[in-house]
Amino acid sequence: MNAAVFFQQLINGMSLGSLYALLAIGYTMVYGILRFINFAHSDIFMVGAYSAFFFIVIFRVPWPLAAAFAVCLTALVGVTIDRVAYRPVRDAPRISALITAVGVSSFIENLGLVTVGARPKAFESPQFMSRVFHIGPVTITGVAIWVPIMTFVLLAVMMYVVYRTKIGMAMRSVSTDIEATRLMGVDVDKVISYTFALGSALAAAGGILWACKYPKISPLMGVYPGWKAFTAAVVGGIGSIPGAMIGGFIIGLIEVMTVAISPGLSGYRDGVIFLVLVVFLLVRPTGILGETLKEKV
Amino acid sequence: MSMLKVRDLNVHYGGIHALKGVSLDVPEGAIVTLIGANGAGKTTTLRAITGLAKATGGSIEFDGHDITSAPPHEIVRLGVSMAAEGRRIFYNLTVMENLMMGAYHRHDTAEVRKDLEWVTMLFPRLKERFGQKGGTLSGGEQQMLAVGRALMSRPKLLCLDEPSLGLAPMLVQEVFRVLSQIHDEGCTILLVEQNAKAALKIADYGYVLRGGTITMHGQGYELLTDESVRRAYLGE
Repeated sequence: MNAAVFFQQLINGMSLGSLYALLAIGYTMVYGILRFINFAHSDIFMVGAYSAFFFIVIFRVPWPLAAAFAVCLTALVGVTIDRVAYRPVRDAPRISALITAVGVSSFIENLGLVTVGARPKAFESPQFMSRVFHIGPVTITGVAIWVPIMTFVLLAVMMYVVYRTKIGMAMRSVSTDIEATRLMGVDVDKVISYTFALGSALAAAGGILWACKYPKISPLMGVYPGWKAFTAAVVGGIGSIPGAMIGGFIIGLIEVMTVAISPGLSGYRDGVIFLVLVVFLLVRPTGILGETLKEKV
Repeated sequence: MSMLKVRDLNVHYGGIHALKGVSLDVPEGAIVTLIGANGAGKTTTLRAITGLAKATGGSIEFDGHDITSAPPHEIVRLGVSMAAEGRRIFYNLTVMENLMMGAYHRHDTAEVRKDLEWVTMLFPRLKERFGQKGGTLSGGEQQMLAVGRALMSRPKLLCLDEPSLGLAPMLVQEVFRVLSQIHDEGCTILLVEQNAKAALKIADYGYVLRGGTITMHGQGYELLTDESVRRAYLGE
């Protein structure tokens, strides 16, 4: 592999990784606060892509506006899922929430299959996404450039919300101690709703950008990206937002580089990622940035 | 007049009848203390008052409002705040952020700033630690932060659960000194303490809790000199 190819693959890996990062944040934020894995998060990603699709194809809304509408609508879907499915089991043992999440995921996927059909639909990405750039021997598509740029902007906004605003401060305090946060006069259910809105909005953005990159969308399109983003969240340290970002880029790079270095393994690209998940769970279950859980006295 | 009126309060905890008809009054401007052995129901009483534990019977009235089944965030807004047992510091937030969490529901920015100055005057040590994560503080500093944080909501009634637990004697004195100071500035205090002697010394009124019921109550000095209290709770 020469330098040009390496550089090309590096960009591809970052591009894919940034999408995993967008999705991984939702897993890690919900886990950080509620201590369960929201399996329906990968389906939120799909809902985001489909919403954009419908806004563009059916309502003929201009692309940027369609994306914005889709992100807002999906955020609302995320909040609704929490309200309808997760809040009733908030005080139940954690395993109940986990099983509920599996159920919600299955429900959304099948609802998708019934309503929009299993046949993949072609996603229209905007023109600037399909432009091709040549930098010396390296060929880069617009998607490979725009996806990481948009992702960085979104991640920066998200970091600002979480670390610089009042509601973000409440999100962080809820993740340490829900009860103590209640004693501060915080309506914790509201904070959890905001968390779902933020996580779902990022997942929607991820789904839309994913659809620009791989312009075929289907009701099950979220399943594998979801598992890989979950892996990214575990690798980065579940519960840690910077960890989810780092994990996303690592998983994206591993996936792309595996295929680049040894094309024979391309059929195993998903397997390699899950091997990483298994290794991390065995060797370092707290991930790269994860803290060892302090036992509460 | 009573600021807090608890009447015939019952709380069940996973099959255990933790409070069996507790009644108590906290008059405005007073320091009232609740003493008793471990498991007597002191913490449960505070948890019921602040809305963290559900009352299964009886009533709690604060400042004319029935708060028996109000959620914690509304009770805080009415003016009750608590420095809970075990400090419950947000270890991943800075000291400054911890304090600001205490003022979360307030919108009077200028007044919040004043209170922040007041709290740092009460606990000068916190100011030196403003940018540090709460989890890096020593036990004593965390306790000060917990009390300071509870004060940031500018409560009418401050509930304290074991503020001296696990502190060195010097720091215990420091905490009690600050409590008197807070009280002098007009804050009503409901204090739960293992350290019954120190608590009764600064309290206007005291309740003795045993097995989920009030077995005795009286002026702080009365209980302090009472033979049975001395034997059971003061280790004499």
